[in-house]
Amino acid sequence: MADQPENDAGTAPPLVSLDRVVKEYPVAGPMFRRAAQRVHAVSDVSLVVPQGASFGLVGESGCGKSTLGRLIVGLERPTSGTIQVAGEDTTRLRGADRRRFWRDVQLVFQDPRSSLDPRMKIAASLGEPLAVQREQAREQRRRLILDLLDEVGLPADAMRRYPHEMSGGQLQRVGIARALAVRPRLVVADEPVSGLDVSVRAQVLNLMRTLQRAHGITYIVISHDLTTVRYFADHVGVMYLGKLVETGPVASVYTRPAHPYTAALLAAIPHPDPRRERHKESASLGGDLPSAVDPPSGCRFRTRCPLATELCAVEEPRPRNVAPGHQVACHFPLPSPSPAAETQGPR
Amino acid sequence: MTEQHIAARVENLCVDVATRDGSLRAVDGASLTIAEGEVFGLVGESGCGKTTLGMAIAGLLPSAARTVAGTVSVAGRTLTGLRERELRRIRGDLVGVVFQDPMTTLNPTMKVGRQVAEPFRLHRDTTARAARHAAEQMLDLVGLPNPGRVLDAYPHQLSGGMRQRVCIAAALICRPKLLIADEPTTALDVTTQDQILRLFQRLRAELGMSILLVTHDMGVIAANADRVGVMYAGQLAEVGPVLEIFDSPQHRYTRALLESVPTLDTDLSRPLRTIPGLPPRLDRVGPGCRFAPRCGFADDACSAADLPWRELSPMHSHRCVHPRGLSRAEHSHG
Repeated sequence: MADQPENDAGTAPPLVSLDRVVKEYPVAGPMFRRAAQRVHAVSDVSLVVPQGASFGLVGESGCGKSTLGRLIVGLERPTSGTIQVAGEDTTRLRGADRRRFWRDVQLVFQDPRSSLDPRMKIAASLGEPLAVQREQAREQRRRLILDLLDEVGLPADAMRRYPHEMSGGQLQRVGIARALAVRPRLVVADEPVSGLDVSVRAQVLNLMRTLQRAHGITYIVISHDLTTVRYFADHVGVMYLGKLVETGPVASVYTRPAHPYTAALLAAIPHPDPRRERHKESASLGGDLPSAVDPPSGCRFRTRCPLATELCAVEEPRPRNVAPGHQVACHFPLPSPSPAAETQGPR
Repeated sequence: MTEQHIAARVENLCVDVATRDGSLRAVDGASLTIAEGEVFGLVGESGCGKTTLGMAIAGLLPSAARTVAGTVSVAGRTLTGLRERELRRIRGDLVGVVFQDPMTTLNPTMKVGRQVAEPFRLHRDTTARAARHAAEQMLDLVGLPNPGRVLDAYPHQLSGGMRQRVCIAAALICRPKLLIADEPTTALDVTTQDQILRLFQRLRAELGMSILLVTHDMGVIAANADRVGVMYAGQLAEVGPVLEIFDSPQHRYTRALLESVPTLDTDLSRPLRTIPGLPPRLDRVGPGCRFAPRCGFADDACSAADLPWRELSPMHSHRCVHPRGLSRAEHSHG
């Protein structure tokens, strides 16, 4: 968002700050297109993630959340805007600084099967980042790997196994261990539990939460699943079509969503509670996501928004505070529900 | 449920799947009935056999899988034991199927209209024009704006939600008695899922068909199913009305599954409930309860062969040796 929010997580200094970050991709479109077109994947996103926080980035497919994650870890370069991690502009890092950055920032992917080499034993996969990053004796490395496996709840004999001999949940533990191996300051996890079954998902979520608290690592969790993010993050950012539309503490955003899109997203989640589901009154969000090549003018959500007026087509809403640390980019933010309605939780 | 109100009946169905290391029983002795107009939710984790059971009912098993015992009947017609040709002739009128990924279901090189009309032309002796007209009506029924234009579109020109609507239109154009929907919204975003699930409910009411909804998502079950079958490691563990399954799950697995789902109300101060361990490999299951190795309540009685079905009510039964009994919710709701 254009206005920098006041540092809402208390006194912790920012670890990650994005300032007006834009990422556009040229379209490999029809052969005889009239003019070069661009996909507006991330548009003018400003964001601060304090040290030690765990920040959830949510939205539906195509909203730009994964692109933003890739920008933060340096897998992509922004078209414009700046990204700072620990006070350093990540796009300007060279040499030893860049190497240190690759250690300080780690990624956990959705599918651990595709991020681990199938021909490498687990010990080798875990030892690789250690070997790349530090000169260490073999025996010392072995000890570290055993400690890591223990920390993520895997037996020591997992060292000698190949990825195909392990379940999805076990592999995701390996993926987490691999990220933690180099003691990073920031872990960006892109849909870390989406590929897992519910019973295993709960195990991995608990593990991630325990580790985050134990090491004080800053986490950015990217997910389409708002229930997962609520469980894991203390702050959340909601993206829609490349824009950050709402940010704030999880407790505030989930119980008092101010952006009509956030409210629709929360209402669309089917609850594992038949009584509540059957009495759901809200209408579903109509229409489809507009093209990111030619996003709507003004507010990008206006084409699907039940509250949109002419103003929304003309003027892009600037972020405004609706509660402490809770910002929304909407001309007509939803009022907070009355205290009576609030006891029923988000709807 | 009297016989004439039953849309589908599955009795003691067993499906074997051939693998490199021999044959596995992917579905083991599944029995269930689906009433007319009912949404029956089949829920379980990956590998539990829910999709195989759904495809066995539709008669659409992959070549490595084979129904080795049991019967399936839809609207009084027995489908098991029929030759492929006979099955193909009658299936469209009895069973429609919607899959998880509409992009792999639809032919990318064929216009939408032809794909929706195809089953109609195969099953009804009709002209291309009449079939196209029927397809247009179907596209309208599933809520696609401007159906006349969608007819001439290719699948890639449509969004994921629109494509799934097209698949639903093709599955329902012959007005089957039973729609089998296998994870129909898993590949879709949550707001699109919401639209598609509401569409199912509307179509169920308007067309009076039954739906077998196969899903891993307890939220989808809660929002849509009338009755629920919970599967674990190839077997049905519990079958009952949706409110009873959620209020007073009897099988320990059902309960553990429900408790491990994070919701928007989960208490954040405590860790999520988890189920220790992993589901068993199907080539290594013995007699007795297959959940026992992961269950905190298991004892010797759980390893007995042929665990009987226990009835809590005529509509609610389970195979747990140590059922949970009636919950507080059950008492307070009467």
